[in-house]
Amino acid sequence: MEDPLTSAAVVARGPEAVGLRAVEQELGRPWSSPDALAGAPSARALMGNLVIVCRREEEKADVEEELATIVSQYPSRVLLLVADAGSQSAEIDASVTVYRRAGEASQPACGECVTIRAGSHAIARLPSAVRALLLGDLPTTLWWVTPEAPPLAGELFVQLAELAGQVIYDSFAWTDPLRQLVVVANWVGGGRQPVTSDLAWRRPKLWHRIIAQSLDPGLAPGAFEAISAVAVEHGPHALTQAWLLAGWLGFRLGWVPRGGKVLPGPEVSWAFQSAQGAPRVEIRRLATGATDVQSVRVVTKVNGRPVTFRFTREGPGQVTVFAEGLADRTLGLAGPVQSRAALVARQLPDLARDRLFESSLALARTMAETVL
Amino acid sequence: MVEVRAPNPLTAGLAQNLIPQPCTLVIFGGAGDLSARKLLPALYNLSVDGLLPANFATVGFAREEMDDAAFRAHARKGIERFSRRPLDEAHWGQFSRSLFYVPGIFTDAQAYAQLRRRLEKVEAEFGIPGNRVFYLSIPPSLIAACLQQLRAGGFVADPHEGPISRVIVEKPVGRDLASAREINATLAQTFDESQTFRIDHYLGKETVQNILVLRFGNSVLEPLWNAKYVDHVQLTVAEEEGVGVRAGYYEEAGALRDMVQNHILQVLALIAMEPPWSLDAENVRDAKLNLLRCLRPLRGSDVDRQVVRAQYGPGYLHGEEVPGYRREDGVRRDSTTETYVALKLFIDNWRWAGVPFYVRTGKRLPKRVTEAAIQFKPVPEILFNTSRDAPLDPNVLALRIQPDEGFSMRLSSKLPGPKVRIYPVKMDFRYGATFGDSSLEAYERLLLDVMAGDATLFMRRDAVEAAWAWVTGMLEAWEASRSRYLPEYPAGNWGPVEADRLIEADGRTWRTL
Repeated sequence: MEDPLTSAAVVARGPEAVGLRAVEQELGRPWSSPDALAGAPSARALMGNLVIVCRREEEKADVEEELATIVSQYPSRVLLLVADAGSQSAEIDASVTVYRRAGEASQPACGECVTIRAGSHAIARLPSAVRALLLGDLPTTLWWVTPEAPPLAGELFVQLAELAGQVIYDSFAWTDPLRQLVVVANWVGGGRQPVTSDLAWRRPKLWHRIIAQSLDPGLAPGAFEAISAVAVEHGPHALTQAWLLAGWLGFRLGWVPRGGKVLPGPEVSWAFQSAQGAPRVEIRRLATGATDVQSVRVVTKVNGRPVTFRFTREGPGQVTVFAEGLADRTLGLAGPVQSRAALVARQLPDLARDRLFESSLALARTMAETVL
Repeated sequence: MVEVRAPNPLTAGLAQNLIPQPCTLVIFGGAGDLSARKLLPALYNLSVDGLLPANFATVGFAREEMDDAAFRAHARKGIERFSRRPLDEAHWGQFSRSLFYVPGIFTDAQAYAQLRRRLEKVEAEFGIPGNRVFYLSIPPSLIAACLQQLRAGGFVADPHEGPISRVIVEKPVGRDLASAREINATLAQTFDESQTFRIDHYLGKETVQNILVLRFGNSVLEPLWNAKYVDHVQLTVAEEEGVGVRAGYYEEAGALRDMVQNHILQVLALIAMEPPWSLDAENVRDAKLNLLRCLRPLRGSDVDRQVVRAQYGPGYLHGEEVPGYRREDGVRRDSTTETYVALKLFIDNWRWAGVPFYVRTGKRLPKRVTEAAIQFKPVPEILFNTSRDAPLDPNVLALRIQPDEGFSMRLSSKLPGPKVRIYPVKMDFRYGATFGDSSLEAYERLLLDVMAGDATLFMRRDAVEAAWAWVTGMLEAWEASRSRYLPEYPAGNWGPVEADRLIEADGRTWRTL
């Protein structure tokens, strides 16, 4: 089922081109201009600042389509930066768009977006524009849209991250996922960094739940301790998602990686050491199929009897489990299919550090280092 | 605190706060109105959100002759009409396969034998390890018989080991202190208190839960939250509806039992209680109980002075003519059941000494609104507050529980211009406008809490009895009263003139809502 978050209740006015110094004046116009009173928003309730970094116009266009959904859920001042290194321009230009809730008598503003474009000669000035436009007393999140490990962006990322309490990125479709994963994990593990979130970690939430539920000691006594093999299959671009899933499993079950290798397939496998044995983990990429985790197979024993749990993606937001050797039924769990906008909107108010993600990422890094 | 029977390393640290146990929910009265309007839509929404365990099933149990298919149709109808999410065909297919039905009379041992067989079959099919939650959505008069049958049939597991057994009981628990004690004693014969969840859906509302956050998460409020700074508190629960189809129940209950004893006292407890030292269920419930025990008793002549009861007469609501209470279907023509109560109460503890709490609730009032308003003391009569003719409006913090959940603060501000003119400004915060997401509805949240074993939002036995003990003083005074006079208020008005006099006698007025 589609995620219920909707942008239908939000209407946008703009964009209006404006000089950087006139942005605040333009955003305040609905409250101050007598001719703007009719139908103008009469209240503004914002929860935070959202700084978004894109590299190309196409990325910016995608984000603009998602903004209504995001601000309907997380009313915010959005600073949408297009840091286009391919452009030789030394200019910075800006435009503003105001979002407000439709259907409410007072039509409160729930978002305002300042789009700022900078060519290669102006990128270094972007952080100064951001500093001037952030709203005080509100949390700031940096969403790194462009598909690269944010720390690889150098000074632009360093300066923007210093302003943010949270950094959101998406390792989906990274071009060199293992090396980039190591770079990000090193940065996350470096201390003093903001709260960090990878959308690829949030996506397989349903997998976390159904695996945790199915192997619960109340239902499958001894299953955790007796795991001898785990095999994860994923579709294109979902390697880090599968990797983090394996990292989570290994971290929570206290496994230590002993070595790994890359096999044709492409397939990666590791040998682990656990308190009870030496489980093996394999991650295999399927050439076709949805860009998601496709299946997880867990070979173990329940009450001493061999059991294989087969978790299968049946469709968007649907995962089933069949416990071969334990039961003759297939059970399912369904959850909303979350668009990228919905994932970001739900992550934004999550200001607490996700220790589970950080630990899973740390183990995933160790796993990556054994095969690099 | 969320219960964990056996440690599951994979659930630790997951973003989901409540980890529901795999279980079967047995709805006694599964063919009824509450089931269709609230419970089944709540389960459907939880399922859509992926919040129910994979090993989960629902079994309806009621006297109506029905099979699984008819129960699923009943559920579908309820979901189509009342669910906050529209029914999705693809998801319905999966959800409906977990719905089952057993017909049977609640006092018939054979029916329970049949229920047991069906439960065992369902549990085998869904891999549910015998965990069961029994939702008693049935008239109070049948509760004892059901509990006895559950006990005799061996449906209830040990609270400390083995599968989970829990029971959910709807409010009101009893109709006075004696009957509440009786029901609680009967419950205790079958279920341990840790297995008993007395549900009051008000406590599942987001804004009610937010009272604790607002009070104890904002350092500007708590220092002012006491008799030194608060002039008085007003609690209003106004309903537009008349008695509707609930005349049978309401004739026996009345507004005091229906609203004050449970919803209002629970909200009052959250507003006035001392800070608990942790959010553990027992600590929060201890704090609420301590507050209820501080309520100054209202008995005898106090009731005449501090309590007003009334009944709605014919009138107009939203421009439409509506009948008086005694003309409603199922209501006695000479009924003296109160549909409105206004009262003044005091909390005899250090924090609230001398601060009056004004409470009003009624049916057929002009609009549906529930709010708690804390009115602060006025600033001294110097500087801007020197004119007796036009005193400054005092600050008011109003917590709106429904509709348009949120809160507002009334502050004084200077009007622009050369003269110093002061004008009240209302700073309004609405959840809907700020947080766009539609959160879990009360029943969704509370059902999830039961499956996860979190009793924080449920009423404990001692608190229920403390609330009844306080209310019973009024009931007894009314019972003993020789007066047959019951003030009437026209439907669509804010209550009788006697209620206005009650608060105006103290130099205060009811808030305009």
